[in-house]
Amino acid sequence: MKQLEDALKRQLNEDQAITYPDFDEMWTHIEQAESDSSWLQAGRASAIPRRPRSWSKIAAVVSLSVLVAAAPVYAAIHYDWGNLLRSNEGIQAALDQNLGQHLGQSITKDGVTLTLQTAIVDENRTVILYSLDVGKHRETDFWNVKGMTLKGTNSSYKEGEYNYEQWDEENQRYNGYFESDWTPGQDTAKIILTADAIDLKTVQSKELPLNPASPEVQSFNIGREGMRKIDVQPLVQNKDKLLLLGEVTFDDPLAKAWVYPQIAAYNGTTMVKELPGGTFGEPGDHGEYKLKHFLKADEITPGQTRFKLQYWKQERSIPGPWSFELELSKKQMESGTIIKKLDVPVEPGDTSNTIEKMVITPTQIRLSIRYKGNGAQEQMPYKKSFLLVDGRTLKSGFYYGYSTEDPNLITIRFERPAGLLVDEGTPITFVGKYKVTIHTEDKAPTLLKNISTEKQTLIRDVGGYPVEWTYYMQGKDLYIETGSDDPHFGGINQTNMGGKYNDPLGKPVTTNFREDGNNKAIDVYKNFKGTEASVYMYFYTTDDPDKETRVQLQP
Amino acid sequence: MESNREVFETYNKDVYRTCYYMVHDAADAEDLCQEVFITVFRSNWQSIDYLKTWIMKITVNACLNHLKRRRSLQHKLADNLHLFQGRGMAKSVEGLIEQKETSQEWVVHLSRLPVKIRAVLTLRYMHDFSLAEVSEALSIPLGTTKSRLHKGLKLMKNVLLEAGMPEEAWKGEPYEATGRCTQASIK
Repeated sequence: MKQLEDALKRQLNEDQAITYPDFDEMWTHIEQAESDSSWLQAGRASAIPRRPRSWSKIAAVVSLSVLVAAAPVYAAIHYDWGNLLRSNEGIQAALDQNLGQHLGQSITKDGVTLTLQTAIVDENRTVILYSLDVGKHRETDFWNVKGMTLKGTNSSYKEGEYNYEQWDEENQRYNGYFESDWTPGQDTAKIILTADAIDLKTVQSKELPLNPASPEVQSFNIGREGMRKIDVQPLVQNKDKLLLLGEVTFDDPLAKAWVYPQIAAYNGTTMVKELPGGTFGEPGDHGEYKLKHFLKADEITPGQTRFKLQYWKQERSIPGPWSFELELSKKQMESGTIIKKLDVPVEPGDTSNTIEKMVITPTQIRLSIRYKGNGAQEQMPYKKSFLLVDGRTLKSGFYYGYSTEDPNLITIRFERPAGLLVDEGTPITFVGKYKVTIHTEDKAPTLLKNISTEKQTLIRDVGGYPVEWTYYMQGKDLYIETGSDDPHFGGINQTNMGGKYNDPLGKPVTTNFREDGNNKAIDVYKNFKGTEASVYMYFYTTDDPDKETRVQLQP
Repeated sequence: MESNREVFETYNKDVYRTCYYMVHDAADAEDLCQEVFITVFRSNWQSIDYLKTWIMKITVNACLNHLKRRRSLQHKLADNLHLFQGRGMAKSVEGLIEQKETSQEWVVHLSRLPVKIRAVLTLRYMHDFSLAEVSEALSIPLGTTKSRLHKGLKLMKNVLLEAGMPEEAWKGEPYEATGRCTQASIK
């Protein structure tokens, strides 16, 4: 352990392993914050020069909140939530059965009213439905409630908290819901629901005179909403796909949290449909905001297709506290709740993944799956999950539940459709489809010879699949593209040149996903010197879309 | 030390590095670092005897609060779902998280540990805090500090081995490598 302690001391204090921010700039921000706070302290004569401030902000600080406390009341609530709950069928089903707890509390500030309407609380989650009345509303306006969270709950970790609003044209208001994995430990609990602010944003755009035919990095100044510039590099991937790699540099790093820049391509007034696989928001080495967009190469005509940077602009922010005291109860849901300890493997012989528990509530069925393997194995190898409940098939939700506190436990959630009756005797079977297997056994190098700016391709067998390796220099960097025409080959995750401590490591240019049916990957080796390289794989995956596992959960 | 500026210049790197290792996100670390200094300057820091210990206590607690309150990136992005509809967002978000894991630094290894353990290791090994100082900074009993430290070292060893870093790599002297180690990403 002594050596590990020494290594930790060295590593954690290793200056070169870290890129420091611009401390001068940070100092300017701190000074500014300091002068703002001094000025705000009422009644204190300040020596700091006053900067012009917006009156609306000052008005917000002194505006009064209206708060009405309420005890749990159950009532038939006739409120049309439109399609807000389309991905929360179970919540809609509970509302239809009048299982909601009426809240009816409002806070009004600066002409904007947030009203909590109904809570649905069960053994799996807490959902609070609310409406937002903003007065005059333009088509380009997007209001949203920022930083909604539950306080006063004993659990210190707020996993799975999320809120979302949708404009309801007919009723001229926003409908929204807040969802949290928190549930009362007892039948009822007193908690506080707060939001940091209610914001108004609009979508803006700026033309980017990008040449999609040039693989060079092209730089454009932005100078808006805290964004300084964007660097865009168009790369043609596998002949038919154009990959746009973007990197936005910010003058105001705080703007990153809400500007959400993205690149859109237009032919005339028609927006070019983006291919799946794009990402945004990945942080760069120096705090840049990275984007990846995939477009069909034949839909892009150099000189004709126009490119635009689209982003949010914050028009208004009404700060909190937007704070509601609530007493929530899960009592009404208890009669329909079944908790079952299972501990069965995901498939026979799998010792790494175990279905630990099933919790059935009136709104949702959740499976907890525990992973006991090591990093080289796959956490939950089946990528598509279904439940067969009394002959009906339920498809799992978009996300796995994942806790940073217990990263080896994931939860798979199935919304309960209206009219689905479940008791202890109802047959329930878990069906996993689309198996992905990780292979680490191939440790042989691939030799790349005569490396030059010319693209060269060789075919190397990986786990019985023919894999194309294409390599070329671009500027000072070596690019290695891998991929196979056989769809059962899942792709190579990452390459390296030796795998030892000081050996070069390929940096993935593309962001690939297991089960995405795409086995093409690009790694870049920055500042590569030489004309030959022995390249190793960390691991590759194989995809078996038709492989299926069935586990009977009850009776 | 006499001025705010002097305090900032002396400790900015220590504070930033702590935040970065605690939260594993450069932008968040930058915000937290700024927040810590604002807190420090709004306090009567001139009356504090052990300034560094006190600043580090504020720093680690700011990070712990941030991690508690942080809504995951998934949710942040999902807030703006209506803007990004039809672009396979869930997958993209998973990808972001997976992509981050290809980073080669120890910050990745440390981020695998539970936050409470991460806090103990950071104070102990980055800032050379005594066990009593760690207990004081985190408001936990000495016994808890000891057990978290012990558990942290055990977990760290496993994380390093799992990441394909053989024991020789971190045991060996001299130690030229600067936080580099091979780390398989999840494809």
